[in-house]
Amino acid sequence: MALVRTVPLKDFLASALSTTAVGTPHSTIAPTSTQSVYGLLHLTGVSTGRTFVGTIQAASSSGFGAVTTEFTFGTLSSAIGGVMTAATGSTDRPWRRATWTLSTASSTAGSWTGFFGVGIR
Amino acid sequence: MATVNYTNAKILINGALLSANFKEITLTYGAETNDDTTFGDSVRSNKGGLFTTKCTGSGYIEFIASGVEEIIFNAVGVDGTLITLFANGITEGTTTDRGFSMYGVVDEFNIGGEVGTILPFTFSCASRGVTP
Repeated sequence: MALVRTVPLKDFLASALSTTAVGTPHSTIAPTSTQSVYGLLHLTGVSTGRTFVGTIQAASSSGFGAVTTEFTFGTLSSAIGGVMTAATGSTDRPWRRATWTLSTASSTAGSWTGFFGVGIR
Repeated sequence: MATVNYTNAKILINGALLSANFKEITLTYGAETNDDTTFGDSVRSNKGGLFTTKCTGSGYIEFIASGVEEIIFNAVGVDGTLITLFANGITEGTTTDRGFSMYGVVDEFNIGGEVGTILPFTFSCASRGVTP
C-alpha cells in the first residue's frame, strides 16, 4: 500500500509518558471486509536503559468490554524508531485505543515520547 | 470555507520528530495509468494501475544525534523508511483531520547552498509498500 491515512490514537511527542497506562478510546472507523487495518508507532525518545511495549486494541464499543489486540509493538529499548504493520481488522470493531507498558528498571523515573496511529485502507 | 494556514505540519521519519528542521514538505499521491485503448474506441482509454507516492521536502540541516542529517542520511537507499505527515497538527481521535503514513525509500538527499546562508537540505522519498 502506497499511502495510509492515519488517525492519531495517542500523541506523546510533547508530553512524555512516565507510567504504564491505557489510552483514551477513539472511534476510528471499522474496516470493510476488503480493507486492512494499519497500526503504527513512532518512538522518538526513551530514557537510557528503559523499555517500551505498545499495543493497539480494538473493540465494538467505547466501553471495551471485549478487547482484541490488533497490534503489538515488541520491546523497544533506548533507541528511536518507527514501525507500521498491517492486520485484518474486524468489521464490527471501530473503536481503538493504545496501551503502553513502561519498564521500571531503575529507581529514577523515566520518560518516553512518541506517537501511536492507526489507518484503515 | 475552513482554509488551513500551513504552519503546523508535523513530520515524523523513522521515529524522529523533524518538523523544526523542515520549511517545506509535499506529498504527491497518484496512480499509474495503463493505456487499454482498442480499435473502435473514439477516446483514449486508460486503466488504473499501481499506486505511487512521492514525498519531497526541504529545510535546514542540524548535525546532532538523531537529528535531520543523521536520520535522512542513514535512510538513503534503505528499504522501508517510515514517514508520517500531519498537515495541520495532531488531534487525537480525529477521523477528518488525518495524517498520512507510508513506507518509502529515500532516493535523494542534497546538502549545500550559497556562502553565508543557513545550510539547507532537500530530500526525496519514493513509495515502498506495506512491508519494509
